[in-house]
Amino acid sequence: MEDNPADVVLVKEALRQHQVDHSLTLVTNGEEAIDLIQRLDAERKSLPDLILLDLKLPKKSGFEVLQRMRLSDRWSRVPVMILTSSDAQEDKQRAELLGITKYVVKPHQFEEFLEIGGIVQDLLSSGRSQ
Amino acid sequence: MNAMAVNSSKSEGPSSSELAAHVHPSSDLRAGSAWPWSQDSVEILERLAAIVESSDDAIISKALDGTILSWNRGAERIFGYTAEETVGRHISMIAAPDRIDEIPQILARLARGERVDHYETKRRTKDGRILTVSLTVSPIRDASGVVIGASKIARDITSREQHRRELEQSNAALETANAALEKANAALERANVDLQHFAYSASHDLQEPLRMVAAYSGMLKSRFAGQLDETGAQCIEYIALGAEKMRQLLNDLLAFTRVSAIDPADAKPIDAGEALNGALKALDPAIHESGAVITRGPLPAVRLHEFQLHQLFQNLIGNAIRYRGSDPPRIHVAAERSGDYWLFSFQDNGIGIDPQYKEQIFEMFRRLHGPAEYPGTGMGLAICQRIVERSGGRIWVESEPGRGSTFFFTIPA
Repeated sequence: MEDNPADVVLVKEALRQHQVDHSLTLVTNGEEAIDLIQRLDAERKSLPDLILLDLKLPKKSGFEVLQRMRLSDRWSRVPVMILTSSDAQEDKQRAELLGITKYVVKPHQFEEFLEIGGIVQDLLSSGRSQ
Repeated sequence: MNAMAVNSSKSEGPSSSELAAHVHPSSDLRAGSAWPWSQDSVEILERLAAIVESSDDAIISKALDGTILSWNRGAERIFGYTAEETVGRHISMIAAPDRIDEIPQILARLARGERVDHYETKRRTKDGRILTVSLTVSPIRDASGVVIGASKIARDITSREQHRRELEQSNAALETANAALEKANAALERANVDLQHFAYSASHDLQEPLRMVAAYSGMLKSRFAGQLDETGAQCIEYIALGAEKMRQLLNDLLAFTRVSAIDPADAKPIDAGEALNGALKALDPAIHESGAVITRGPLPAVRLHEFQLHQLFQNLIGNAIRYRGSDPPRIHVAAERSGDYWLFSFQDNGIGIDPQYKEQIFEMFRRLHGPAEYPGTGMGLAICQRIVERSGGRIWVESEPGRGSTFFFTIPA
């Protein structure tokens, strides 16, 4: 759930670098994200294994998306990794209160960004083993 | 026209005839034989006369038509006319030009037997000065109670008046100045808030596009380094460097404005030793890389916000490490009490500073070396100066090129 295509490319590079076996669904604003959450719940379809969520989304914010997730039993069990440009402590605390799995601040250096692929890999394998 | 006459045989003070002359120049009491007054009465009168003479206030008696009958020493002093010059003349001679009408009014009231009490008005002296006086005028009655004249006591209150006016003026000026100050303060507050918002915006919103530049130049370098010749590789290098420099600058600018946002007044005492530990931890990579050794004397508790003290230590020690010579940096941090202040010192064995620049280096964005020689944004010392001066202290450096530098700052204890 990311509105900046440049960051989407970087995430894809990171996943490729760590050979993460995946299929990626992209939503680019908060409203679309909440629609997706509702739709998958209503149609009783299977939910994603991991959500990568930017806090600064157009229309509805990442926080609102998180809140919507908490309203659903099924979605509450999906691990969420926040991937945001904000290093503000208040944002981190607020997100953690809403129950997230990991909070990552988007790094400036390319090499550091690639490490996100490794983090995703870890989250997916621990998720799958449950 | 009666006058107060005194018959005195005492030698101290004016003689009775002199007094009498004051009161009524035409009376000649040396003849005295027809005077029916007893010795007791005479003594009482002498005493009263002495009181009149010795008074600082002008005591003047006049007839109902305004003719001056007596004029004491106080009157001579205040109005500048001697008794000879005034007795027998009209009281209007000392009236101020714009108050001439007052005299008939006062005389009319006296004729009715009224007293005029502490009446403030103006009178003119012999040399033309206008005085502010406070008058008390009482009717003089004869034995049968008929008003035959008036006794006037005039107190010179010119200086009192002047002081009062000056006080009013300075009060008014103060109030105007206060109002202006309050207005200026309010404007400053608003400007400060605006600046905080701007700085926050600048730092965060500008970082985003910067991150793009940094990340993608990194990706270019990482994924396509083989396909680029030397010039191409150099291009990417400078792009990445530019982005990184910009990021540091924005961070420092944000730190600078954060310092301004903090009110020094509500800082609780914190342990400088602890703050130094924190700063050293943050500088750990630089300390390791340079092999720096940092020593310290005993450090006190100071009334500064933790963020500010942290900034001070980190900037000053960071500089000492960065601007090193060929030897590993050796830095000593000390504090001593100096009157109402704590005096901190940071002594290093670095490259030193040319004394002609020792004020300039505290200016924002000022550097003495290019980025190729030593890295830095030129904000560190500006931030330190801001912190120290906002708390009421001073910061300065003593240094010689090639002989290391010692930075000093004071903080109120």
